[in-house]
Order: sequence, then C-alpha cells, then structure tokens
Amino acid sequence: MTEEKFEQLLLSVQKPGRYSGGEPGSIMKDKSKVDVRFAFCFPDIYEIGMSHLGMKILYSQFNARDDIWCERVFAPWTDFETVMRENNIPLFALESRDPLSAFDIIGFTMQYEMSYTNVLNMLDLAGIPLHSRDRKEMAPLVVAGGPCVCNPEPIADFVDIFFLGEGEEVDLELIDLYKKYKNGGNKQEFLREAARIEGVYVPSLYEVSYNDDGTVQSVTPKGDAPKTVKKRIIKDLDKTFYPKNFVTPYIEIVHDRAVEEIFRGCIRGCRFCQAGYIYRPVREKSVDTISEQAHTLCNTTGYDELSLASLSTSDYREIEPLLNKLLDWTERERVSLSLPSLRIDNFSEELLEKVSSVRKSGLTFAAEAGTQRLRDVINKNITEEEILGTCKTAFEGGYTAVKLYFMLGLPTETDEDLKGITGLAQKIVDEYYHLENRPKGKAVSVTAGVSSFVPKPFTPFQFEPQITAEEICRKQQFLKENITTKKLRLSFHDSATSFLEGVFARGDRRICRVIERAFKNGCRLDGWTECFLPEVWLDAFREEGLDPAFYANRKREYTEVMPWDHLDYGVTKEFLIRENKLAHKAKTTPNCRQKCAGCGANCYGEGVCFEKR
Amino acid sequence: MRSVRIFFQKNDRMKYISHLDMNRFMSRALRLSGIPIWYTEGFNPHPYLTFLLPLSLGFESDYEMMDIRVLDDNFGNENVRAALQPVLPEYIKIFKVAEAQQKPGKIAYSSYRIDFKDLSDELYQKLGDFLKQEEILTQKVGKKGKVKELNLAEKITDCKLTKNGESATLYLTLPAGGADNVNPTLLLKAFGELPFYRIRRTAVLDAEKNLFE
Repeated sequence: MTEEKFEQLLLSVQKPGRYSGGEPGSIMKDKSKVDVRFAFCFPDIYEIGMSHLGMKILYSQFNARDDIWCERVFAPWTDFETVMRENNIPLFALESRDPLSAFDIIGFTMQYEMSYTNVLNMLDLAGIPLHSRDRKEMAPLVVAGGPCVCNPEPIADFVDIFFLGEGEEVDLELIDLYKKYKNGGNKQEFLREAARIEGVYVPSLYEVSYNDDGTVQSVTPKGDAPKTVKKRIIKDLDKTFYPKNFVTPYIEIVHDRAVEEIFRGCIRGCRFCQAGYIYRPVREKSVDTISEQAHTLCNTTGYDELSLASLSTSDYREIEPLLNKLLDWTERERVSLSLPSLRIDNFSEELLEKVSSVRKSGLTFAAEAGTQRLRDVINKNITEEEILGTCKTAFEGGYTAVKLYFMLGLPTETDEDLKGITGLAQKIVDEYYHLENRPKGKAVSVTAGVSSFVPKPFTPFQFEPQITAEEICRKQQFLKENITTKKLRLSFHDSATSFLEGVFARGDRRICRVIERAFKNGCRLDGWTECFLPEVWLDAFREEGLDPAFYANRKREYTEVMPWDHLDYGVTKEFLIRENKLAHKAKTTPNCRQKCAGCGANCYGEGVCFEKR
Repeated sequence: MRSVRIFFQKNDRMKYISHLDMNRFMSRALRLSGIPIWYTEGFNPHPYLTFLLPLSLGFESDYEMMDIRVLDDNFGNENVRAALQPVLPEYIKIFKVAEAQQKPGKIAYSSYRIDFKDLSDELYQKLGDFLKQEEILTQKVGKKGKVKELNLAEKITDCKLTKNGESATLYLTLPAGGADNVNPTLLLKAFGELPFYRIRRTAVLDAEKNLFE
C-alpha cells in the first residue's frame, strides 16, 4: 500500500483523525532497538478508547522502559472497516502504522461485555487466527485484562493469557518472562511458566466439565497450574507509576481532559455493583501525590480541565484538604475541576461551593432505586430525605438541572418500587418550586436514566435471575405511564442489549462458540445501537444449541459451581452468599469504614481494612 | 493588550484534522506556550483564538492564519513565535507573527496548488480543455440545503496546468471568504474521475489580489 493510496482511503471515511495518529504525547521509537513490541488494543472506536484512563497509565508505563514499545490500536468504525477489507489493509497501530501481526504481544482491555465481538474483529482484520490453539508461535501472544476478565470464560478460547486485577506490576512481569522465551522458546512451556505468576490466568490450562443440566461441574487445572488464580493489586498508590503526560487527541473524544486517580476500590458495597467488589480493598493516594501528579499532567498536556477519578469521589477521606490544595493552583492557572461520582449523603454545602467556584456542570445522583425498601435490598445506603436535602442545597446554590440514575429489574422489585422512581422525581420538582430563593425565572429539569439491572459475577447478586427482555420492556412502559410531571425526562437502556450483556457476564466457556458464530455472521460494535443485531445473536445461540435464558434468566443455587469460581478476587463466596441473604431480608450492611463486613479482601494486607479508626 | 496574527503552514498528517478540532488543539497549545493571552470572559473562559479562513479537511496549506490577543505589550512577536512553535507538532510551522494588517472581511481569494502524482497525457489534455471552457456548470449546496446552479468558469482566475513527466500540477485562484467561497474540489468533481491528487492552499488574497496580511 502506497502512502498516497492510504491517504486517499483515509480521506474517504468519516473522521480520519481516528486513524491518522501523530497526536501530541504519542510515543515513537526505533523498532529495531526494542525487545518487545506491545499493541495495546482497545476493542472499541478511538473516541471511547482514548478516554480510558487504564490505557493511558499502561501506555506510559510500558513506554517508560527502553526495551518495550507500546502502541495504540482501536477498532475501526464500520466505514473504515469496509475500506480496510476491500483494500486488504490489515489492522494497524497508530504510532508505527505497522500491522498487528508485526507485534510480539497484543493486549486487549475488556471494559464492557458488548465489546467481545470487536476483539474477534480486530484479530481477524489483522489476519491473526482467532483461537489461541491455532497460534502455535510465541508471537503474537494475545493477552487481556480489565474488569470483564473477572469472568473471562466467554472469550477464553481466543485469549492466551488473562491478567486478573490491576496490571501495573503483573503485565511487566509477564513481559519480562516473554523476553526469555521470545527467541525460539516453546509457547506451551512459556504458558505453563506464566501461570505461576500471581494474577496470570492461562485458560487453556484448565479443563471445564459440565453436569447434565448444563451447569458447570468442575474446573480442573492441568499439570501444575494453580487451582485458583488470585487477582493482583497495587499496594501503595503513592509509589506506583502514574503518567506525566497523556496522548492528547486532535479529534473530539468522550472525555477530553486531564484525569487524576484518587483512590481505587469503594467502601460502599452496593450489592449490584461489580466494581464495588472486584477492586477491593480501598486504597487511597495521598493529597500531596494527587496534587503534584495532577499539576504535572495539566502542565504537560495543556488541558484546562481536571477530573478526579474514583468510584465515589466524596468518600475520599481528605476530600476538603484535597480540594483546597488543588484549588490553590487550578484557580490561578484557569483549570476547571470536575468531581464526578459524588454521593448524595456526604455532599456538603462547602463541597458544592468549591466545585461551583470553578465551573458549574450538572448535578448527577445515583439513587438507583425508587423506594427505601429496595434501596436497602441493594445496600444503597441513602435516604429520600438525603436526596431531597442535597437537591435543596444544590438548587439554592443555583443548580436547576438534576440527573438521576436508576435501575429497573432489581431483585425483589415490584411495581410499587417503580412508582417510587417517578414519585421521587416529582418530589424533587416539588422541592424546587417550594423553595423561595430558587433561581429566578428558571425551570427545573429532572432527567432520569433508567438502566436495566444485569447480575454480575463477584457480587451478592451473582445468584439472581435477570428479568427477561419482555419484562424489561413492560417495566419501561409502566414507568412511562407513571410520569406525573413534564419536568421529568426518562431514558432507558435497550432491553436486548441488557439481556445479552447478562448472558456474557455470567457465561461459561461454551459461549465462545456463540460469540465466534455471531461475529462470523456479521456482529460487531454491539454496544452501538446502530450496529447491534439482536436477531443475528439469537440465531447464533440457536445454531450453537445454547439457550441464552439459561445464562441470563436462571436463578443459581448457592452450591452451584460458577464458571469463575476458580478465580479469586479477594471477596469470598461465603461473604457473597451472606450478603445475598441479607438482601432478601432488606437488611443493609455498613460500609467498610463503619464496620468490616468480613468480605475477605483483607487478605491483601493493605488499604481500608487496616485504616486506624 | 494587542492583537497578534500568527501565520503558519499546515502539513502532512494535520490535513486529517478538521477546523473545529484545530481550535481545541490550538487552545491547549496556547496554554502550554505560556504566552500571556487574553481569555474570553463569561461562563467558561477559554483562550481567545480565531482562525481566519477555515481549511477543508484533507487540504494542506502554506498560508494559515490565527488571531490571538496578547495581554503583555512587552511580549513581542518573536516571543510569541519562540513560545508557541516548540509546543506544536512538527506538521505545523509558524512562518510569521505580526500585527494584523487587514480585517478578516477583506479576504477575497484563495490560491491553490493541486498536485497529481500520476496524470496520463490523455487526462492532462482533457483537464486542460475542460478548464478552458467558458461554462463549467455545477451545483452547489448552500448552508440552508438550497441547491444553487453555478458557473465555475467565471470563478476561476490565474489558472495554470503544467506537466512534468508523470506528474502534473494545477494552480488556480478561487473566491474565498464570507461573501463568496468556492472549494476547488467542486471543480475537480465537476470534471469527473481523476487519479490521486493533493490539494494545498498556497495563499490567501484580498480583493486586489494582494497577499492578505
């Protein structure tokens, strides 16, 4: 392919900046002078992948080493995929424009179940065999990490190695081992040795057998592979690598700003939330580290917006000192500070003032359920009083738009709980109009995003049946009919997408066949409504003789062997069962800082489990 | 406070970056440069900058202009250049920093160079004949979606087609700016199928066809 031809093709598609590379901060190296070429693949389009913090961290960290060159690869949008296939352009990395097949290691980050077909499509676009068993050589080695790989079984046939937990240490250990085997090493031997690294899961070293009823009977390690694989965590966030620079994109991406991570994990234990369990235990960065790293980032990238990243910003213990320290320089340097993931209950007036002194963005609250009973079931420990109180504070502070997040289809949910959603929105609207000092001449607007609950592994709800797509649609309709105010706007998630997400989340190894077939029948970019082909998916299940309802809508007994039971994320199954029972009694569990719930994550010897109280 | 016009080239990979994206990117570069620039006032203050004549996606250029306002009168044009160039990618080359001489409304024409890497003798002949016609009718879709009939032959000035071995180059000047703007791709599309070419803006001119400054 000549440069001219490539240019011409790029100019024939939408947003060529997705594929042109050369952004400030991107790293070029001499490929003859590195030992390992790592293709960091994000299985979605550029705008999504470039917004992802994990990729920025690992990209910088790998490239900080002279012997590694890490480059970025994204899934092409459909228009460019067509162009690539018609012109035999293999999928390439943005930095060198070399095809994926020229790399030693191809690493995918799995953030979302609906990106599974994109992994296959990206391998296929590069002419790389999809199945790990068909890749006999050391290169390219296909690895994957990210939250979805806590149940990696639905893509286990395609990936050589999974990284469980946080990647900063284990990835480099694996790369070092790879270097030893790179020249003429035996891949099988390499995989067996890799499996001894903590946090490395080699699926091909495990045999899965099934019961007559289709449930998993056992997962048996071959040879000396460990019986359970334990996830890795970074113990000290002050000492671990953090990028001093980001690749700053030319084209507009979803989150185009400096991002500073302030802690990992979450103390809350909301029972539906996978992130709240798989990232345990909570570990914080210090105020000084955060301020210094964030300042460096703003200075090197030129960003005028800084976002603090964590699962629940206001749970940072020293949030006020932190904000004071940050505002010290952000105000002077005209950097606006945004604090996503604020919780309702500890959202103080002072905090609000600090945020709004810089830039006024919308207020977002995750109420999750419409009644107190159901919020107790899911352990979302906030009360209606707190929600209304915070809204009042916000309205008095000049806010007029409130965004609420809810879920439908939660365990034990009744129509009464759904009425609570529209009811709560009405109360918020009333609160606004009862306020004497409300912003003059402005109307209030309440937006409620109602997603559909999907039971996830390593949560207390991993045993629960997901409601059917039909039931999701009925509940959505019910909600629409119950709207009592024109100030409320409801938005929903697509029911078929939620259903499939549910299948993948708790799927076993047999789902690999379905994913491969659906991909071959044209499925890709399934997270994009305009590309999603639910009928093709259902056909793929039929053709492979598997029932998706078995995975999504079936209740699991506590004694059932889960496809991920041989993976250890710190939280014990006993704890999850205990929590599941409490949920059914609508009994809440205090957060990690109030009282240890004995989840098991203290096995890491770090973090909130050992904080002085 | 003084108004400063920065003249630069847009080369190579930057051609894939749209006008809107240039804005965002340049705003970051200006912050990085440390130039004491004026920020817009209002809800979300941001560095004031304006590109004088948006360049189409896919074009390179020898003559791009951007206006900024420098707060410190002692911060000279050379300082601006010295501060900004190092934080720009290699594909953007500043060639002049000066006080704005003319208002953006005075822009009247743009000159282009269109390079064909491989143009057959037959096509060369055909293209030459095509450009010599008195009438080159085409349709242009206006801002409101209205389709307008247009005679491109009236719009083209300073047209020259040269051939050098396999390659050929077309030079031409077309109306540009707020009042009348004709994109050279309109002309090339009116001709029909052509092999690969690159378009480069070579100059921006005023009504008297003097270099716009």
